[in-house]
Formats: sequence, C-alpha cells, structure tokens
Amino acid sequence: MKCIDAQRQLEHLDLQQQPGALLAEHLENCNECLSFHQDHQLQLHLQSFRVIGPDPDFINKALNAACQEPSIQPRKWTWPASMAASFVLVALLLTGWLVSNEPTNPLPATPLQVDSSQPEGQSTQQVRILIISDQDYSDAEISLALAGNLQLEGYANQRELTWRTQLKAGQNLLTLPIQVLEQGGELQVSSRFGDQKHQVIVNLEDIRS
Amino acid sequence: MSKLTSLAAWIRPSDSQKKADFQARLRPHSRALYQTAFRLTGNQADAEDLTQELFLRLYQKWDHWHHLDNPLPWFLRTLTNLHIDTYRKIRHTHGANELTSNFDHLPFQVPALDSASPLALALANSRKCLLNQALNSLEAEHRSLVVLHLMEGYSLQEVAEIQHLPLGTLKSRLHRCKDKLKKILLREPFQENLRFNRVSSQED
Repeated sequence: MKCIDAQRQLEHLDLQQQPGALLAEHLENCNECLSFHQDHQLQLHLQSFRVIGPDPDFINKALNAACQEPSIQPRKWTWPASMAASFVLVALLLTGWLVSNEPTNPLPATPLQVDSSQPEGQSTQQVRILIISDQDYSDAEISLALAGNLQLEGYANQRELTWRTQLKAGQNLLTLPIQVLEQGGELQVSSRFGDQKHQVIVNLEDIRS
Repeated sequence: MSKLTSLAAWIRPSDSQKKADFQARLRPHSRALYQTAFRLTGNQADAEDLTQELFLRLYQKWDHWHHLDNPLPWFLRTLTNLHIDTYRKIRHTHGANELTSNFDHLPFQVPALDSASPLALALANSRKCLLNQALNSLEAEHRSLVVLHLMEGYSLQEVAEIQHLPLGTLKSRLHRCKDKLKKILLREPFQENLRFNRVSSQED
C-alpha cells in the first residue's frame, strides 16, 4: 500500500473505527503514516469537545455589569471622591465645531467645555476638555500652549504641544494633568479640522493658595 | 516630537458614549470569547466567571484597545492571561488540576445527543472524561496554545501574535503538548500482556 492511499483512508476513519488489516500492516511499517494517523486521531478527539453555551442572558448581563464597575485609572490620574465637590468651572467656550461651515456662526449646543479639579494638597489639576463632535474625524489637530507657571505632567520642558488624534461623533473627553505652580497661568487649547479652527483659553490658579 | 504621539491616547469618549462604544465593539466577539473560555476551563460555570472577569478587565483597559482596528488578538491575550492567573491561584491553594475536575461528572455538563444509544452515550462520556483528563494534564499556558491552534483553528502566526511568542518556541511547545495529549488519548486500553491473554482466551 502506498502512503498516499493509506493517508487517504486514514482521513476517513472516525474515533470508533479501527484500520483494516492492510492499513494496520502499513502503519506498523511506516512511521510517517503512523504519525499522520495519530495526529488525525488527536484532532478528532479535540474536535469532539462540545462547548455548552452560556445562560441565555449571560452575555447581556456580563456586558452591562462590566460597564457598571468603576474604571480603574492609573494612580496619578485619580483623586479622592471627597474632592469631587471641588470642581470649578473655569471656562465655557462655544465654537463652530458642529454643523456650521462658517467659523463665525454661533452653535446650537456647547461643543467645547472645560472644567478642572484639584486634589487636596497637590499642585496638579485635572483639566477636562469636552469636545462635542458632529461626526468622526480621523485627523483632528489638538494644540496646547502653556504659560510659564503651568506644566503638563510628563512634559516639563514643553511649552507648546501639537498632536493629531481621532474624534468620534458625539462626546470626546480630553483629560490633561496640569501642574499649576505659584500664581498659575493661562492654558490655551486649540483644535483644527479642515478649515475650522477653535480655541479655548483657560486661566488656571492654584486652588491651595 | 515622537514623545507626543502618546498624547493621542488621552482623548477618549465620555462615560456614556464609552459604554455604548464598549458594548458595540465587544458584542460581536463575545460568543467566540465565551467559547474559548469554555475550552480553557472545561465547564460552563468557570467559563462564565472567566468571561465576566474578561469583560470587566476590557472595560477597565478600554484606553489600551479601543483604537485598534482588530482588537480580537488583544481580547484573546487578555483572556488567556486571566485564565493562567486563575489557574495559578487555584493550583497554589488547592494543588494542580483541580480547576474543573470536581464538576466533570455532573449531568448538566453532558451535552444532549440526539437519538444516541446508551452505548454511544457511554462511549461519548468516556471519551469526554478522557479528553478532559488529557487537557487538564496540561499547564494553563500550554492548554491555551492547544485551544487556540488545535481547537479554535487560529494559525501558528496568529497564535504567536496573540501569545507574544516566537514562532519556533510556539512550535516546540505545541509539539510537546501534542505528545502529551497523544499519550493519554491514544493509549491502548489494555496493556500488552492483557491484550495477548484476551486473544489467547478467544482462540481457546
């Protein structure tokens, strides 16, 4: 018996069938076909593993439960719940981010909002910029300009930062950890997409002082 | 300026939109992930626990994967890592191979076989127990390779990407796993001397 014929027959054996006499004799003398046979049998065993489905509502419940859990943030981004009340609305700016094609048109909503919080005893403020976008943008440009007494955490020597990012239709949240030193200063946030440019200027003060 | 590329990760959807996006991105993969979890754990209860824990972890790590075009490899890597962690914890407290064995014999684990004869059922159950025994004999890290490649059908390249393993290492580990599984699954039911006695007794 040729190996190619033997392997063709072996492929059709299930777990309950034994090779016939000729095939068995070939397997005794051919390591290649024996290995093929064993691999095939192993594959049949593994394929026989039956997966029992989850309870009918399991997937929905599990997805919802996952969203209920508070997100674990890196330590440097967290602040005590007791300080949540210390939110201070710093600035509110309306820009032509939504439907307007004319940069001078007023907006029907508040597409760009800024607020900040400062954990007790720390000089870092979490500045949150909410951008409401009418559609997905793949290459929105965000720029920051920091006055002398402000520093973006991790970028101590950068006074101006520009990067490109994606915006999703709806609400997009940009959280910046800004270190406020001495008297504080002015944070300028700009965005650009296509012909439209928008800018927010925020005065940040050290709330501890 | 290359340092600034990481800033792009700082912009993210607000909480309500994040929840909607999270569910929309994860839901298409949820059944497949549960199926993999079942093959890793071997029973429904542990698979549901593992899947639930995975969803929690994925929500917490949203910023790490939401920008990926195809997050499935990321999901699978998280799933297998969670399973390995669980396996190690259980082994540490109870000893190896106790993940599922306590429940293997329970009737609700036996899938319904249409028009199966009692003999076919017995054989199926016997094979199922043997298969569970063989899979449980593998370390969790090795079982995940077997599940992904031999049971779920991911290519070697895909498994290497999911597990962050060099292809050569993956192949050698899979080879060892297959040898171990074959020794359990393909062993002769009777020792050689017993087999000879049975044939002799028939001839007599």
